[in-house]
Amino acid sequence: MFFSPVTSLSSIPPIDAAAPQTFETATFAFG
Amino acid sequence: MIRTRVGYTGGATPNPTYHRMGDHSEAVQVDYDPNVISYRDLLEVFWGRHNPTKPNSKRQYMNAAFYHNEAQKKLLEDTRAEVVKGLAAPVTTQILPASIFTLAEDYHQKFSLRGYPALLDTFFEIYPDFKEIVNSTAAARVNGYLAGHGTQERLEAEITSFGLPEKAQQKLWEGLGKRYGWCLA
Repeated sequence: MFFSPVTSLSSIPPIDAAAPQTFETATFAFG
Repeated sequence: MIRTRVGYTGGATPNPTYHRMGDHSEAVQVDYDPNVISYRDLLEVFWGRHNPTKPNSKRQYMNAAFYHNEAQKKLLEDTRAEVVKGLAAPVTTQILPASIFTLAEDYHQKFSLRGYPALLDTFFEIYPDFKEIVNSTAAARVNGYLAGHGTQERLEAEITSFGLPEKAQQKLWEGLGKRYGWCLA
């Protein structure tokens, strides 16, 4: 059985758990 | 905004670091939900927050937008054309294809949050691996507020969604109170 010692599911902040699985990425460089 | 990270991109130097950046530029990468905010909205911030006529004399500090698809490229070109109309000097901001993005060192990530060790410790209790803090929407939003973005009203409306313990929420308000005079209504 896989056990993650790092993070239990219940401790993940709700806003992280609710983050959409589909998203877009943008990249910028501001000198 | 789902998550943010800073790093190096645009060049060919393998495995860049802050002290050996080579031909890369310092950059920010954001993951966003297009159902909530559009790329055009992000471009308004991009064009509004830098001087597009600044000479790109140092590659490290180059002004550039890196497109991830053809739709982004077209919007970048369209908005650059609008910006050009209002300027006497030539626009030097580059529009380039996105390439490998190397995460900057940990000490560059979530820079404003790092100024509040008690709050950062709370995130470490949730995510002992800092890479997960970098990927955390909650950490990105807290970092943004501490950097002076957002509004008090917005924070009041969403702070409970961050999933932070009550004590950490108080620490956040204290920090924002000292820095920006914010307080709970």
